[in-house]
Amino acid sequence: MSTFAKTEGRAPRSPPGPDPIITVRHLWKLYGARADSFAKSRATPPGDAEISERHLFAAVRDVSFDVHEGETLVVMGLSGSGKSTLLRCVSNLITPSFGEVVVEGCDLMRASRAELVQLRRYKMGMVFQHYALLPHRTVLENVALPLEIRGEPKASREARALEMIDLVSLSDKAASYPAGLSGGQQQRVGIARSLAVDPDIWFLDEPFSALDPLIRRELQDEFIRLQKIVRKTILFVTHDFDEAIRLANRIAIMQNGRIVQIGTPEELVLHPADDYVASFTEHVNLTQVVTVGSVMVADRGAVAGPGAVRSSARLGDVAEQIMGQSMPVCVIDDGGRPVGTISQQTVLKMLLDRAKTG
Amino acid sequence: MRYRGIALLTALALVALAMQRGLAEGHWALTWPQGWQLPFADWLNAVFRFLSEFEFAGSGTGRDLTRLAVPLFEMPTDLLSNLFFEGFTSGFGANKQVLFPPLSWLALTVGVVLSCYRVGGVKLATLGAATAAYLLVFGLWSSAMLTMAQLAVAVPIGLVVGLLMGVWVWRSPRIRPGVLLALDQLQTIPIFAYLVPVVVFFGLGVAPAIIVTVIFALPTMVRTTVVGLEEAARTTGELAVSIGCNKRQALWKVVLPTAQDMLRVGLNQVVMLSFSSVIIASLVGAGGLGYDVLVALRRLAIGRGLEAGFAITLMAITLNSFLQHYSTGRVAGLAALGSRQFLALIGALVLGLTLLSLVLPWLAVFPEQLVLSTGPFFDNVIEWVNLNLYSITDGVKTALLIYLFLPLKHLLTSLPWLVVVLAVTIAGYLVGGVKRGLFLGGLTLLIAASGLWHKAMLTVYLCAVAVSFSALVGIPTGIWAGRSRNVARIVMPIIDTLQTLPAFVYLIPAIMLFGTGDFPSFVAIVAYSISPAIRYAELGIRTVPEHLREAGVQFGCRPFQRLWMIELPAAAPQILLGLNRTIMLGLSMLIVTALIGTDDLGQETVTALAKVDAGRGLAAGFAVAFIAIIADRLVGGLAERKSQPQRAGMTAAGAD
Repeated sequence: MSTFAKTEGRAPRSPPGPDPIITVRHLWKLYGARADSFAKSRATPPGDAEISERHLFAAVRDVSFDVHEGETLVVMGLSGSGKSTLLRCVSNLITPSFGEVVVEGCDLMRASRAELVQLRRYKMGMVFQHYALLPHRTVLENVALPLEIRGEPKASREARALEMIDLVSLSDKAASYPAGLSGGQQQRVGIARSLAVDPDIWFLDEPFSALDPLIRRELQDEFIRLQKIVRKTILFVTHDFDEAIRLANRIAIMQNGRIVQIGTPEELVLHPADDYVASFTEHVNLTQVVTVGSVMVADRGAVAGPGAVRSSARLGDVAEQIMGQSMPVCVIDDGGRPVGTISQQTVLKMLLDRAKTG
Repeated sequence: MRYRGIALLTALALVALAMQRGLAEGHWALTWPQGWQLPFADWLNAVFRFLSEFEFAGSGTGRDLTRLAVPLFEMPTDLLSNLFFEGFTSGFGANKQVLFPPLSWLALTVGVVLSCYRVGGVKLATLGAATAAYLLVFGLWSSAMLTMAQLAVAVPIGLVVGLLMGVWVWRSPRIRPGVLLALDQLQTIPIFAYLVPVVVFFGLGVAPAIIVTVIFALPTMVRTTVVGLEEAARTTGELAVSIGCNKRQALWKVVLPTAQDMLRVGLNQVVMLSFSSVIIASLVGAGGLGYDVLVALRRLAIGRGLEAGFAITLMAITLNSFLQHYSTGRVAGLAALGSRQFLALIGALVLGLTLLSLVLPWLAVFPEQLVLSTGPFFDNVIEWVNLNLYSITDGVKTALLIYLFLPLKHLLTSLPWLVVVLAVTIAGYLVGGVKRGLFLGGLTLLIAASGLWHKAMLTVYLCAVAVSFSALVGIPTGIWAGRSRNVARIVMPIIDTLQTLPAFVYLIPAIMLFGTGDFPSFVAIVAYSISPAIRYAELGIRTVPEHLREAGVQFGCRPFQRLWMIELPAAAPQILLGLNRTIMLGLSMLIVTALIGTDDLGQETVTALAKVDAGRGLAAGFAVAFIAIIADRLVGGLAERKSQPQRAGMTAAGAD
């Protein structure tokens, strides 16, 4: 891993673009005996009473959200919360029971089979938890598979595949078979394969959950590095809240098929919607999440001295700098204009993790 | 649960006893009344008559149509046998002219050895050379070539048809469980039972022989394909859909390649099963090595029978090993040549040597004076056995017959059918719930209704004796082999060989030592069916998780305690599966032993074959299959329960 990843081991915080690439509205997925025909027979989702009466189970209930261009939305939930089902409904690997999914202007619920195939061949890439590499193909052949499927000639698809393999730093393994690779390497191949078609939208289904903690961390850094290069619109599913915090622009927390809260990591940490969300956020190191801007005292008249800190900086990165001063430090925006001040006391509070009680 | 079951079955035994004492001979509860019999054989015959005589608009009867298909099988076979050993000729009798000679034995041998070398290196080349040398030296060359010509047609048909059917079944999830179940049952119907209908539709000769071979190998190929595809679909998951494959791409690019290990198993099975049906196929006119074995068997020519039988095994092993290597696509030798150059080289060598054979007669026909036979040797062995061992073998045989076989035979054949039906129902219920109990009881009832009850009980009796013996000897041997590497090193190669020999070959030593009747059948069945009992027990013990064993040592178990309390329970599902396989093999061997004089369902199918009575043969075949299903569901059900006790109720209910 490059030093580059170490110093900036964190998702880019640029504001999401204005256009939603993925729009999900009132999405439902029911399971159980004859759930599909039941869903087809009616226009609106059933109530709780009817669901339990018919012995159905709502894996996803009434979920709505947008993902903007270049944004990483992480769906986080424990097992059984419906997060993987949600991802599959959005990518239409399973057909939702009710609701609306629009991807780049294409209404997936009404799309024909052929349209879906085209969408998958050119617009969507997916990474699976258990890699799903074909054991009898080499790394190169695995990465080239999606291109082969859409009918690209051998020379050009192999050139592109090699490029992708290089991107995930596996050039020396191109001729190996998956069985000869470690888990982390296999998932790098899975990542390269999903990017081979240069998709606009990138689905990742618990991509790092099957890996050891150290390798997981390494691949998270790799993901952040790649996202800086490829700038995809991402729907990322995980059960690991720390992973969500590291990678997300926004996080959607799921419980029992519903999204209980959706927001930036900072919003979640500072203002958890309920005890359930709080149970994840309470162990998070605040200074790694909270930015200066959200805890400063607004004051446009502050005087920008040499020790000024940016409002978009995370507290953890500037804490030492602020604590080194004796007076409250001036906060400036990205344009260098003063927007407020931050006191040593505030920083100390955050460092001691007392933000929520205080 | 268990005690209730034992109590119920004991009560039933008492009822049986009371019924036998209290009811008059011929009471309906003791023997199934004639008037109630369902004429299954007649019904089946009516179906066959209808099919074979039905007029398809303008194109003749069903039988005419099937006879039309005969050349499709015969022509390629004739072509190959001309090429391999007959030569291409025109005209008959005195006008016969050789257009092109058959490929020289040396040409074929060189071709085989070189191909083996390229595909599998020195080891495979040695095997190929040994096989060719064996066939030549024992004078089996032309028989072997005839067999090869037929299998060269049968094996590809079995593979391709099996693969396509497998794909179709896999793609139709609704029918999949039903078809898989039906395939399992098909495998339990003795192959004799198929012979008659095939003869009705296709006559005698090469075509029915090939069809019988394909029918025999097909269910396994379909099953293996379906299982392989299911497994591959599980590992590849949503990959195919997510990268936008259409249906064809998903199958050919993603799922089938991923299933290739399993498909290779299918290939192995098709080759092995095709070779093992060679002898049975010769009953409908296949000729070749199978016919040699059959003739030897009838003439009691021990040496000749063993020679030809072993030739079949050797060819099967060589071909299988060649195909397994070939299917990996790797090149082991002569790598400097491209595949076209290699083929050209082989072609040139074969053609050159064959043309040379026109001038050099020893290249055309393998020199007579080099041919050996073990016939005289085995004649001497038999003479010696008769002189020296007869008193021992006869003593053993007589003692076992008087004290074990006959009493058991009497007991089983005199059981009232009603009691047996109830017993099977209860046992089925105990193993797998109400549904399975009723299902198995129903099957038993059908056997009773078919009028084959007595023959069926004779089948059960001989099978039970032989399988119990196999289990009593085989399971402890397997356990021993599982615990000791040295024992395994001796035992495993022996059972590997035992398993690859065609079933008929076992009859030869059995007859040699014990004459005809129940006892040699018993010996042959034990020899044939003991392998899985040993193999699965060995596997079960060897694969007991190390942490369990460590836990045992940590608790302070003595070796015997460890075996009894830890290893055996952990290995129980495997051991039961082995027992199940042993029963299945025992049943299929039992049918074959009909050739040396038994009086059971096997004999019924053989008689039906001789009389070309398709209905009778199939009815008996189904009865055997029902017995196999009952045994499988009872023993297999126990294995299921042992392997997942917490879900026993669910799986058992779902399995039927």
